[in-house]
Amino acid sequence: MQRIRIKYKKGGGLVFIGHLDMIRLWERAVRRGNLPVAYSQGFNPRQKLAFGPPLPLGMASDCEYLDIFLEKWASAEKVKEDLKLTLMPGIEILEVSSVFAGMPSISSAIKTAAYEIKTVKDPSKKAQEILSTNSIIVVRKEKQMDIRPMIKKIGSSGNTVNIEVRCDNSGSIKGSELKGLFKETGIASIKRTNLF
Amino acid sequence: MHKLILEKILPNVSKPARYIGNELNSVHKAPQDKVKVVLCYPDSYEIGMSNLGIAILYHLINKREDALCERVFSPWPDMEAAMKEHGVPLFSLESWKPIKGFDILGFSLQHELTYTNMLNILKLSDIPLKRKDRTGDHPLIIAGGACTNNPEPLLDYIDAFVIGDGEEIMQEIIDKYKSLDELAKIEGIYVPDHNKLSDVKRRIVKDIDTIDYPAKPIVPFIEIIHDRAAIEIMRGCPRRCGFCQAGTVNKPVRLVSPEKVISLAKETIKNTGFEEVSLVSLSSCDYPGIWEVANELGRALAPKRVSVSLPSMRPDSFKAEIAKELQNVRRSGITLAPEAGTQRLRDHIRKDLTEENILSSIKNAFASGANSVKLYFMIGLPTETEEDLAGIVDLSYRIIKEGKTSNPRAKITVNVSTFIPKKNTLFENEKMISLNEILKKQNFLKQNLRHKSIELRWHKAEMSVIEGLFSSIEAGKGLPLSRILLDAFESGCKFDNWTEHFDHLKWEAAIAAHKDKI
Repeated sequence: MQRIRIKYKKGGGLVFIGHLDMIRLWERAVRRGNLPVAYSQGFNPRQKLAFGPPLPLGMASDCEYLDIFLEKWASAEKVKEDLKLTLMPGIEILEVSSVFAGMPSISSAIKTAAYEIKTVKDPSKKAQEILSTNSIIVVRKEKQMDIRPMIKKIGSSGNTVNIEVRCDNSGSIKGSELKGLFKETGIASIKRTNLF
Repeated sequence: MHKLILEKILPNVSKPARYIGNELNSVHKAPQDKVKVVLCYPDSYEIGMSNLGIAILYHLINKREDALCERVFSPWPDMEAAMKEHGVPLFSLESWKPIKGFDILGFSLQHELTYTNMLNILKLSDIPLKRKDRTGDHPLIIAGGACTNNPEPLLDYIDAFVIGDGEEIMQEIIDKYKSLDELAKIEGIYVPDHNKLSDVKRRIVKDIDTIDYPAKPIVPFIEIIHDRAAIEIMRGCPRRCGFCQAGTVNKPVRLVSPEKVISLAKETIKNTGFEEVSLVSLSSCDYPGIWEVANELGRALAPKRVSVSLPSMRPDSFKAEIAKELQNVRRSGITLAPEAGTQRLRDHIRKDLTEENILSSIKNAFASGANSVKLYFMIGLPTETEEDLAGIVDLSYRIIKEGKTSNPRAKITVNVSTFIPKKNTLFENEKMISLNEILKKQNFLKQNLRHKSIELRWHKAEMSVIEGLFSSIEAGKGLPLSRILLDAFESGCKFDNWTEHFDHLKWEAAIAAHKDKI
């Protein structure tokens, strides 16, 4: 089985398409593109696709990932061309590469997510405040949770904040919590800029 | 307006993808020198986008060089509030342009409980609700669909009604939309004050095999109600059930050829990537050679893991032996509609099913591997007695007992709706039962139909009463329905076919206000 890794950009109106809808969108694109995709066994066979960490609704991204498992070999270049022909504006394929089939999954390889937040008011004071505090308590399902340890880096210039947060199996910051951090300054837009 | 919608409105509403447009295969045309049409199904995006008629007309209009067609659906209440807050009028999905600027606004009216939403579309577009208050600067407001069989309640609001099939008529409307007198001359169009309803001849597309069906339908970003490729195979129904309007108005029965069905389905999958094809008609098993068509298609699409589904199937037509041979063909839920609980009443309403048919098909269905079957019954049918009502209970028990003999896990869902006399049917002059009678009968079923493998479901009685009021010739007699509709709308009624939005007290108040004046 061949494993093809795709890195793509998501923007425009598509920022309003959630993770589950994106999965269906890719399945249909793979079918339209006639890729020799592998299917799961069983009564309701599904395409073998594996996605990176879900992008919160409303955010654009420069770095979304997905793996497509093919039954028959196809060149990365061919896959790129086939998909490009059938995708809609709002998705831009950045890289397509053939990767080692035994590689760890996208989500287990990723530890950190970087976001760029455009604020309405000057965010520098708020960014400083987050850096200097020891704990930021949020409530998840009626349980208190400290998200401060998940914030790895934060910096600002002008009305732009760049923030790096933990993004792995041990726990990630939610989109709504990220927005909550800059509630007072107002948020014009958020974009995921990197996953690593 | 684009920036405002993208940055201030959409981030703050539920399911923003309903409003963004730009789906795969949506059509975007420059407006210069074109007749601008916007089609509207006055309900949520998910319901409206599931309507095949809109998809066909969208394609046929956009094919013309001198016209363009866009779409709009009812904004959910949170979206409506956000739009009002920012002063944004209702806009089309394709160009995000105000509805008011189009030349023709065409409503698909399939259900009476979408009437208040229709008025709301006009209001949110800043278009006067009543036709007498509109000028040549406003779009021509037209309506088609099942509801235009009974246009009376809407006479004040709609400029022209399309009665019958829309494929050919829509082209003629685009050619002549500037003159109501010209429109009134088109076969199948009723223009209030310009021609007489009794003179209007229903428009029929004689050979539906010649229709240029869309092979590139829009692929929604979000899951809609019918989220699959829908291929029409037959229009009309050879059965003659006395209560059914779809069967009587869509005469004669017309077929799409098997060759066309198969090639269109393949082409549609190529252009959309849908995982399922549905062969659509009022009664699939009455299409000659349905199994051959479904089987051939199932085989052709199997490599792409696309399944074929057949809605409106009668279980008696689905034999276990055939089921084994069929590759990749599945029924989207097994349904059976006995409609009435006794043979006497089934005969009276001309429902062509005997108890023997029912039980043997149930046996088949469960034996061929099904775990659940949906049953449809009606209460309040003409001549119904207590015995008929008790018959629903008895028959349901016999069905579950029969089901359990072939599958111990067998379950049935019993859906009970209320009979509503519809115009152009055998029963158009019958009376609908009152709200109290509906509740009493529903209660009887709730009390008596209790079984751990039977789920009982019913239509909200108050909603059926309002639907009945606007459907039948009898029920509305003497009542100014158009004014009741306006009063209900102005007091805040909308999304009336959504149980959570339906406000019975407001409707009652609107009706009472006019009853008192008579």
